[in-house]
Amino acid sequence: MKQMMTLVRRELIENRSGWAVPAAFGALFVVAALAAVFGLVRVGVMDQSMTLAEMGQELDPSSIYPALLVLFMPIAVVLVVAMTFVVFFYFLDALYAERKDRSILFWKSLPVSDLQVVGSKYLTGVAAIPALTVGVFLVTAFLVWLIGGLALLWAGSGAALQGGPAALARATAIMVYMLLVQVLWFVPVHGWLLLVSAFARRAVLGWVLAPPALLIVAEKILLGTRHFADTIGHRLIGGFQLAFSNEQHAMIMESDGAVMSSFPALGEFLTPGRFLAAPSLWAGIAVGVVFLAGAVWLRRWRDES
Amino acid sequence: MNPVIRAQGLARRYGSTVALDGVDLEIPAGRIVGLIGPNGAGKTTALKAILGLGPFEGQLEVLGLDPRRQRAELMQQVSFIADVAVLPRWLRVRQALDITAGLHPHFSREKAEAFLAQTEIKRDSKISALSKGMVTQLHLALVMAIDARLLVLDEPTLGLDIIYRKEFYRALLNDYFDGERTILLTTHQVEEIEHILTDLLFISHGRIVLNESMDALGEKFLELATRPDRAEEARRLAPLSERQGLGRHHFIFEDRTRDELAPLGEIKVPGVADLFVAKVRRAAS
Repeated sequence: MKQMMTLVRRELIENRSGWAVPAAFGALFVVAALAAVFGLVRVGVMDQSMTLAEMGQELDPSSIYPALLVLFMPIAVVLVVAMTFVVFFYFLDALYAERKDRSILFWKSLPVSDLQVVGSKYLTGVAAIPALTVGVFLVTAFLVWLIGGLALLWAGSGAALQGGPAALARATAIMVYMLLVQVLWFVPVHGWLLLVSAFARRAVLGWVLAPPALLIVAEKILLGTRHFADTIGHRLIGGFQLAFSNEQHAMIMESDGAVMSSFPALGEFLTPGRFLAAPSLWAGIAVGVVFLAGAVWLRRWRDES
Repeated sequence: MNPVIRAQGLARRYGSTVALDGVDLEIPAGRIVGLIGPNGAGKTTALKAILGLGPFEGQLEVLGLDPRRQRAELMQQVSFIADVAVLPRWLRVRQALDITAGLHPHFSREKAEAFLAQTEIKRDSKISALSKGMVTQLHLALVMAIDARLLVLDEPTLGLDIIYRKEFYRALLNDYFDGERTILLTTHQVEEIEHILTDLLFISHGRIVLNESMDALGEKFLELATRPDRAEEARRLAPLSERQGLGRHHFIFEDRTRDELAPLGEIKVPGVADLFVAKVRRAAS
């Protein structure tokens, strides 16, 4: 346990982008909130636009909670997308950098198994960096809420401040769900990245992209079909289609001069049952485990010094 | 007592190249063994097998463990420095201490701090900001603070200047070696380590060509310096090697007594470097 914590800490020291990139995006949202409060940016609803202060006064108090959710969710989504790229490049580098700078010979002089090392790198990408991203989200959303809420209070309405904690808890729950879906759905993607990272001598990104690209082209030429391309496409976005209802939408709208907002109930919005029951989820996990095992084997026996 | 390293028929091929050609070896505890060989002789391949870093054929036990299957356990009792400058450059000195302490159950942070206190290395420096000599000092401090039974050093002082090299071996001998640990090291600078070695292993073309304790060396090998007019007599005694120096012919003999050689000129124990050249040439021919 202590060893695993140390290994993950080592990863976070080497890869500061794990928290720095989400934090930079979070800071942008805080700056945007400040800009909105000071009237520099106008918030658009449909074809009208208004300052945040005007919006606060027109907002129906009963819809403040969904409005806050509609405010928080884009922050969560942007942070998750940014983190997805960070994790992609982290895995790409995870087993390659130590070979390139030859520090692998130092790490191999310590009494940790290759399974532990690859496991720690996998955990860093699927647990530590996502947890840090959730932390960044909480701080960002809290600051945005505080800035907006105080501005609305000054404009005469305390409603936004009251609805904050509940909306923040709800948004965080959705974000954690999103991350869990991504982690499970991306097991084969992450496994493939780690496998290539342990295998490639150079041009890791090329090795990641070239085999699936060649397969797609070969299938198209030889068979005239595109099953593999569909499989890859399904692998990238299919998980979210399975895990979220596509009938429910969050919205803010204006009617009769009052701004209304609605946010679907979680039970209707999230569909974990459908996600977990999908055979392609479990098939993907099985393939991913094979890739991960290959990465462990390569780190153990690869001898290129 | 069981030997620290026991190898039988240790072999490894890279394609058609034979790197190790059936090496038999036993190294008991408490020795400082120099593994000396020309480039490509199989030194690094042998060390990699011992450290579980590469595959091999034959039998090999290190501290009673199989380096192939029990590598993580083995590394609790074996430390090694593979080469200079393999410490991760993005790490700070303090973090290197933290991480080693977090990963190695036999690491003493106090000892490492004590070694570092004798250097000018700052705890907050990044390793990339340290000179090559300092990186080696840091690596040595980390390794010496590990209570290991076997220390393997592969060209530990390559690329270092003479002051750091001397300091490296001084620290190793005075602060680390306690008569129970075993040190196995390779180097090109044989002259610098011959006074600290207890045993000598020569390897050439994947085979061990000499395996002697330093004490036995002086009995088994003798160097004779003769005047040119007596060279022919010396040659008849079948020397291992011959070279010419300032008005003298130098011969190295194996298994000749001092009484046999004394009438021909001056006798001394050959230097390791000269002996190495003689043995390796002989093995090659």
